[in-house]
Amino acid sequence: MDVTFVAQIVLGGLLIGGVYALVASGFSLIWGVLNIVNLAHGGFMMLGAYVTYLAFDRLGIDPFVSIAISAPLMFAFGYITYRFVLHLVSRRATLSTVTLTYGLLLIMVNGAEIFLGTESKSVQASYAGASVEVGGVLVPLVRVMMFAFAVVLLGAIALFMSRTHPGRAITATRMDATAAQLCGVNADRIYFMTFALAAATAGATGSLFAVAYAFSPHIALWMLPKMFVVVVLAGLGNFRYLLAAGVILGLAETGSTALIGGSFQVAVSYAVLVLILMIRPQGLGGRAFLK
Amino acid sequence: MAVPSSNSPSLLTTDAAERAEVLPEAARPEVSLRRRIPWRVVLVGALVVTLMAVVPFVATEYVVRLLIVVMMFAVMAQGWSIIGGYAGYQSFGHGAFFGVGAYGTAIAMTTLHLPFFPALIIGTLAATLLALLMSPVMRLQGHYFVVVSFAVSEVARELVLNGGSFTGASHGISLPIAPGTQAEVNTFFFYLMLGLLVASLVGTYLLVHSTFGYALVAIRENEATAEESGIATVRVKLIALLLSAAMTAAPGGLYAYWMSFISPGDVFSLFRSVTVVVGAWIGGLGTVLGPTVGTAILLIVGEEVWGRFREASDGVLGILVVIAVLLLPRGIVPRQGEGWRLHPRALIHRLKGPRR
Repeated sequence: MDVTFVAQIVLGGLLIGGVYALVASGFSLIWGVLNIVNLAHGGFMMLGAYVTYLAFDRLGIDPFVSIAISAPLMFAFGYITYRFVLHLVSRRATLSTVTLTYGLLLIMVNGAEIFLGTESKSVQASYAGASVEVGGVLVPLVRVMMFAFAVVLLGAIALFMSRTHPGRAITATRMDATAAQLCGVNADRIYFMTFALAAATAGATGSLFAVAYAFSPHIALWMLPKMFVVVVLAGLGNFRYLLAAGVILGLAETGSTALIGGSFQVAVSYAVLVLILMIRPQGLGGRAFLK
Repeated sequence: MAVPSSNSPSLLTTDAAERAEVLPEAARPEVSLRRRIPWRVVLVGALVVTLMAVVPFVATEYVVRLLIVVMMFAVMAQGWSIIGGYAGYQSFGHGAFFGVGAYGTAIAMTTLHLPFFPALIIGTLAATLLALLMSPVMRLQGHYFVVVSFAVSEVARELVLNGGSFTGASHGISLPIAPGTQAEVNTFFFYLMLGLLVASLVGTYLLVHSTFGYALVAIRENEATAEESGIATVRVKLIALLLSAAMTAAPGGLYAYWMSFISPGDVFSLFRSVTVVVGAWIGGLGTVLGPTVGTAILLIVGEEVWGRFREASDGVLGILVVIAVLLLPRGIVPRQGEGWRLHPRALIHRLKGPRR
């Protein structure tokens, strides 16, 4: 197997890993801070992708620029969804919230199918096919941009979490909600903001995804296992290893596609997940969740 | 039987008469694990079963087929409820057991040329084996078990999809067709499914009102304390998972033979797993009848919705699920000790649900 072939595979896995990590960051945030497994998270990403598509198709806005539209839009949508629906059940057991988010996911996917159409859409910017050849390896520039944006956004969120006041309040609430409240943090406002922020990142991820890939309402479902794998691999509530986890998943996928064929790709994501949970449930950096 | 006590009468004895010497009120018979047969429920149940038995002769084929599907999901939900409702381990991948049961039966009938009932047993055993392989996962906390069970179901489907000619891959497997006319076949499976449902209900009842059942509830409420109290939590959870898998696999085998054709996307679908969970949840977790009631309601409503809304059926179902979660924190069938009191404050209290 020659080097350029391997390099191509590695590059492919690396670049998609950024997207996985970004969408998983929101998912991990909701799970870690709010203790909600948000099955509808992929839905926010899907809607972000559609915003980008519509902005490009109707208004001619560059897809990367449209993040400035999709992120705030999803922020608002996430805020509303949480405040008026999810918050009501936030104190109940896990099963209630999982079932509720499943219902929301159904509504989002079906709604998108009805109002936006079931066919695949794609955003063909003028620079869509641009690529550069480096040592025999074809480097798709659009995907590199996608990866770069994803990394920048992830870094921005990490900085937000550790350096700004609201971010630190969120982190504190994640560590110990009661203690945070004793320090003057308004837990309810934190919950609203965290969910909205996570939805915004999902929307941004959707926009980035739309630049390089075709999509349909079903990506909301398709992303679900990937989000789970990345979050579990990185360790719940842990930001540091998210990018690494995303890249690992990406590499596992492209690697397995090259070795045993593309039809196994979904099974590989899930198999990786099961293996991790059996062998090392705390992932790379999280706390152990054994009983 | 009186536990030998010291000279003076003591409350700490199993002899009611002795306790009465100390405190008259304590003479009431102690709560025992002796099963008190709920005669009213048995009577009503017998009535319902008799009514159901008449259905194939008076109702249309459509109704008979619908009821077979409803009963199938009800049995699955009863099986799920053993680890989901009673032990507190809510699996989102019970479709895996159903699918393995279906495929096990199918492969036994086509490749091994076995008749139906032995094949069904093989299918059920195969699912139990899967549960055994999954058992290390029960070490993990609630959230993780949900995720892993879901993952196992997906992996199972993908493995079957890529299993080549052994599993029929994406083409599915065609089973030998059951003998008789369409109506006779439907009637045959109707009674089989009905029998399975009654067996699962009776089985659940017996299981719950036994020491094993108490152990399960203890594990759900507080596993650490249960462990400290001397319950062999690992073994109890394992047995519960195996039983649950078997109860979910049996309808799978029946389904395979009834439909004469199964495919991976059909039997391993997330829809199946989630229907079971949502149905059991709507009916009331931790109750004997809850899963059956909830699944029946969910499926019949779903059928109506699909009939009227077609493309929007998923969305409407989603809306119904959201409303159900918001309004029915405990489900429909009340647990022991609770009830549907009509006092407004009690109703609001019930609707608000317990704090986590």
